[in-house]
Amino acid sequence: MKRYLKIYKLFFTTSWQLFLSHRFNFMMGIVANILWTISQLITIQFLFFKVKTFMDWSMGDMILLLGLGQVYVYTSWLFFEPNFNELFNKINSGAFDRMLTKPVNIKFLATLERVMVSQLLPTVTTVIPLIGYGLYTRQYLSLFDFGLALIVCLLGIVAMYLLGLTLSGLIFFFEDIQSVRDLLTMQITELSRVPLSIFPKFLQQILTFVIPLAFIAFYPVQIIRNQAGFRTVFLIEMMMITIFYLLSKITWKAGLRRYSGVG
Amino acid sequence: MSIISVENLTKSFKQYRKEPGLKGSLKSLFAREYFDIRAVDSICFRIEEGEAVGFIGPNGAGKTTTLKMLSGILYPTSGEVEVLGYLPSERKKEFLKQYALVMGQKSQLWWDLPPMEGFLLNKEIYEVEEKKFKESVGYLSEILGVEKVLKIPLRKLSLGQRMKCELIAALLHDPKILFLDEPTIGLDVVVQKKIRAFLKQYNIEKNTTLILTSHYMDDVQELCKRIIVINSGQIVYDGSLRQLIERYGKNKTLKLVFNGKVKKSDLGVFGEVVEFQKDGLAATLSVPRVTHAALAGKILNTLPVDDLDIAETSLEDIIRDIFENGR
Repeated sequence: MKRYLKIYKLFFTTSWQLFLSHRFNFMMGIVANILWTISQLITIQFLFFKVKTFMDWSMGDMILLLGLGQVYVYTSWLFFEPNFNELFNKINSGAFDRMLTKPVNIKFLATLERVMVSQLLPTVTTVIPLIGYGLYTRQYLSLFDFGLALIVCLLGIVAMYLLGLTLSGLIFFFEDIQSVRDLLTMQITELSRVPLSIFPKFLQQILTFVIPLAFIAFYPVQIIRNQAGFRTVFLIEMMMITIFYLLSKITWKAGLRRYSGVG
Repeated sequence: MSIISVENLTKSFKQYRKEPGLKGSLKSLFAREYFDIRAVDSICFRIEEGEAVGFIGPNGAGKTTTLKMLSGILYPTSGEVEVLGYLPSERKKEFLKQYALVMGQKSQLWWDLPPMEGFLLNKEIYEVEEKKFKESVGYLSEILGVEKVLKIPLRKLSLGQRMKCELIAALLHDPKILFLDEPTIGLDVVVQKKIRAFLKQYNIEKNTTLILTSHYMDDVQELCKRIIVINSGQIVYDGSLRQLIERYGKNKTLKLVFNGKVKKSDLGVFGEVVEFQKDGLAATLSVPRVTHAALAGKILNTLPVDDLDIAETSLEDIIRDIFENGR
């Protein structure tokens, strides 16, 4: 574990060095993120222009939901999304061959090597104000509940990472699996910014048990709103994490057996 | 004791055919025509510790696929392979720490960062001690003459400097086996020579086993006493370089310079005319190895020879002959 932390620290510092050589991209990224957040806030404000609640959700709750949803967006781009996106290129360019010769866990190396440190500042400039405002509007706030909500959110990110890992393992079987993974783990994240309860029952179940997106924002906000019990949510979440962990092991093991390299 | 043992090793790849054009693309969307390609076909060999072995073969012969199976990158379709007492496909940490793979066309260092950053990462990955790391970087960079470029971004370095840095990154953990896949590809002759000299010295000093694939016969001739010739996935020759030349190099080459004009037909009686200068003042003949001395004597007596050079058939020609004639 200590060795892996050391290696990850090097990934992190190296990514910083790479990032510092591309400052312009970084600045434009921040501007784009702030503009995006403002547009989302305007949409929410427009929604609450004539009503005080939306299906029992206040404007503050909706902003809290948006903020927690953004935690996933930024952390996934910070830690693993760029690596998932590059995996297909690494396989096609032969760079994956080199990774297979290293005496470290291949899943760790292939999916966590690059840290997109440019996502750190938007996390601070957009997520903290959104969550802060959402919490500020609440009449009663329990810090303990907020802590539990954060645990559920972070474990939700782990579950989504493991789902991405499982699907990435299929890349060795289907060359064009990237689009499926993008659909399941990226495009669908838009749904995390609206309350799960507005969807039909079957979609709610899909977003809980198939694509564990509901654990990122919906259930954490429900815990803060005292509408969901931490223990039940936590147990289901841990079950999902275990299942995805085992599935990712299976898809990668079978995928590597099938790996044919290039050239 | 064999450090590498390979028995009936086979690797097949599944591929599909697509008719050209949009129609073909649409057809292959619904019904693909798959077929198997045998990249490596039941090969057997053993390699001893400290040996330097060259894998030679045309493009697509199966050299790199064999190397990838030996290093655990690819799973064999069938057959047995044991390297350093491990099954490479299991990719055990202890096994992966004992070899290094250098690919001439694929870098393991970061393009935008100095080579030293890549070395530091390898230090952690291979758990190299700080003292040992400093010693190795110092020794290898000095011997390869790249001490001054280790802190310069890789993209600013020449191809030769980059290749030397790749070698340092690969050797930091003192591998017992060094797989080299086209290590001198694209390099100029001076750098090629330096890298060959370094690898030769490293092989002797550290007793590291070298497995080399290269299209440059000079690489193989200078580094390897033993060569394995692969064609269409099968081993067509496995033995010493000297035996290969004796077995397949049945002819010798006579390079002649004349001080008077000679007709091509005058030379044809002695052997095969490989090259003939239009002005009739120089020619190259290929003559049987066993009679080359007698024939050279006859030529000296009958033709106006100014200079005569007798040479073995080049390894390149022998190999080309094996590939073309399937011997």
